[in-house]
Amino acid sequence: MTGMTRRTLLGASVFAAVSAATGCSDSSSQSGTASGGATGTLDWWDHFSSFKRLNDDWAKTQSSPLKTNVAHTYYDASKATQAFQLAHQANKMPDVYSNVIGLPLPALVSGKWVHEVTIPADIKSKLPKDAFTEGITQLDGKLYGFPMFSFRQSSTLVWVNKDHWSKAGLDPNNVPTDYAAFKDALGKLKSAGIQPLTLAIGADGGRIRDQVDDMAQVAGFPGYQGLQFTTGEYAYHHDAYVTVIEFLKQLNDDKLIMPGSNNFGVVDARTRYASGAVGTFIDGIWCAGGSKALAPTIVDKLASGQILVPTSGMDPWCYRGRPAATYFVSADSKNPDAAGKLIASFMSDDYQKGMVEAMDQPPLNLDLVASSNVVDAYKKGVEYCKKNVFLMPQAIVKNPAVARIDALRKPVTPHVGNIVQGYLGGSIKDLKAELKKLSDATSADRAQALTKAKAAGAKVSEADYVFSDWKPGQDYGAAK
Amino acid sequence: MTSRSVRFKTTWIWIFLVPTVVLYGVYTIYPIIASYWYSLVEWNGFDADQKFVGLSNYREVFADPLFWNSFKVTLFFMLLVVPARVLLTLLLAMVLNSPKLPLIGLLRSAFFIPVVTTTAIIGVVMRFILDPASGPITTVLTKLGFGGVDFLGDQHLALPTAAVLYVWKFFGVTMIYWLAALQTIPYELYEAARIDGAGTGQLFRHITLPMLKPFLIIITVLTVEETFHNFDLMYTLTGGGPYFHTEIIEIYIYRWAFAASIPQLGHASAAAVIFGLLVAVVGALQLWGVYAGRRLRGDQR
Repeated sequence: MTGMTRRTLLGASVFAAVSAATGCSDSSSQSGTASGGATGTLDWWDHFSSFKRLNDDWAKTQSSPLKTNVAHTYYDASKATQAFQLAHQANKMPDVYSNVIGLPLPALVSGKWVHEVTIPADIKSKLPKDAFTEGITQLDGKLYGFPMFSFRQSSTLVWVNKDHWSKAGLDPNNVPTDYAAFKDALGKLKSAGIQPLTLAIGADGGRIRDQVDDMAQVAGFPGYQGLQFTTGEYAYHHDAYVTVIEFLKQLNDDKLIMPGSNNFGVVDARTRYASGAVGTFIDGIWCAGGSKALAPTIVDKLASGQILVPTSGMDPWCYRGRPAATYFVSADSKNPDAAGKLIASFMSDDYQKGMVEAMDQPPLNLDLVASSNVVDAYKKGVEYCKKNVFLMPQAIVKNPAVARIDALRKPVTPHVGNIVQGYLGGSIKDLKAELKKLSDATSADRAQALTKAKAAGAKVSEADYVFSDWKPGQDYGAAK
Repeated sequence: MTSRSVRFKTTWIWIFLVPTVVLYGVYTIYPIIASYWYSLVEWNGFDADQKFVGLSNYREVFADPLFWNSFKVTLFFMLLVVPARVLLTLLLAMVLNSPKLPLIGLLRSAFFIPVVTTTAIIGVVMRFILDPASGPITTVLTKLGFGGVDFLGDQHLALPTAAVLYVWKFFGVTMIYWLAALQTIPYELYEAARIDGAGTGQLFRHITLPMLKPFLIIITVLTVEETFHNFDLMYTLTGGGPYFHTEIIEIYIYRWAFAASIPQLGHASAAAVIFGLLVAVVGALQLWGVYAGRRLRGDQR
């Protein structure tokens, strides 16, 4: 006879394993028992690389007025989502965190991710009325955060290296705006022995997708991310998308795009630009700050141009949605008042000044940029956005219940970015047919999400996506 | 020994085993069971709600052409890698098994160093080395009068390039297997054959190969199984691109579980379960290989 049989041991082990595993996975049972505030510090996580130093310093200055130790942690954007996913399941969410999770606000509220915030009246008065939108920043009248960045921004500006452009006999302060002139300029760079252009076509294709969406709008697509404003239908196979992608294909076939760009993520491409390995880079307004963070000497060589238009004289108009909250307070925060005050402090003049100087996404008040000490290339980019980026119509603003459809949407692959990669690399032969497939697949995905949302009681319909009164070159439904 | 002392000893054995059993349960058994459950629910990993959807995730995975693409890429990668790894390492092991070879320890270590280097680091460094604009290989090719080659961005070259790097990275492991196998062949056999006038080719054909046959089965099956776990190298090298040409199943699973704006853990888990079944089939082959190897060795004795 033995003290412990195999069966007893197995039972004990399974019990121990299940207990441990259950303890690991059951977030609701631990809810509220532990959080970032439990240690007496106010934890603050974000993914803004250009603001890293600013935020580290700001955490130190705020510790005293908030009477708690503010600890700032930066996460790379590509890793932040996973970090938050794990932290939420383990009830270790920071008190304050940047909005990188990707869920619509109603899902964040129902999933106990966010806490209502109260903003002091003097801070609220600094924010434009468009900063508060039911379904995006507030729900049932409760405020969950506010945007800090202007929606008038772009991820598709042309950034050039002044030295390289001058060497090729080009004027870096007068970057071509149409396809033909731009291609001609790239040809001159190539003739001068300079790698002409790089783009972030690789990784998950997310950046080139955003850029093709922007360029398609400028080329005449009356919608956003394939969705036409006036009809509410997906039309990635619209001529504007074909025109843009064919232009990129021409640049690629003429070897004007740096070899390897097909495999570059954003940082790969930006590193080439910041290090001076390439003459031109298509990137967001934040390229100035991002490049400076990689190679400070590039700052004096920066020049910028607008989003490219197919033919000279076209209006370079773009449309973007109302911005979501930049930061949230965790539902588990032990000190939501201090967390709310920390978020409110980001609207102070000192922090706003620091934000502008970091040359990342522009602040809500774009006038702060013109009077700041930043490089002209950044000012020029912001000025372009101020005049040419407009507020677009959004189904979620028309009917906040649309958030329930959004929460049920699934990724549609290959998306536009993947298609660009495949077409440039030769894997896709019939571009229009591939774009039509994408339109059909995206429509089918919305239809399944709509059906499920309706079955769950949401009062939504396809009509929520139709804005027959939309007019180009204007803000849609802006607050008066 | 009294029954009390036996009981005391056995209890201690079980007590020492408990940490292993618990850790294996938590980190291996539980995730396997959990992934089976997740494959039956619709869940984004963020919400507490997990909606049971039956086999719907499996239907979606089977209907996704990109899943079958990743399946094809995984198998094609295995076909590229396994013969190269098994046969080339055998040749090298035979060279390194020669007692007359100078610096034998140094050479064996040199071939083993890539094995102990972190795979992700190799992926990152190789991206710089293979950079088609400014990498050292491009510089050499340009000086020789050829243009730069986009090894990782070209749809036809990306997978073979990754395969070559993978073979180089894990060359040392298979080489060690073969060295161990070669050292089981009695040296007297070779000596006797040489006295009888056998040449190098005859020694290989009539002694080395027959004696290594049992090991060939085991090493091949082990190598096949290893090639299915190549996420770190492939993800850091190509991320699955260009246009899914190097998207092995592990990257497909990762894309659905973590890279989607709203993660689809149900879909990813269904793909993982199917992938697990593929690995299980190889595992069964591995068991058969071990059994067949033993039987062959028994026959040889």
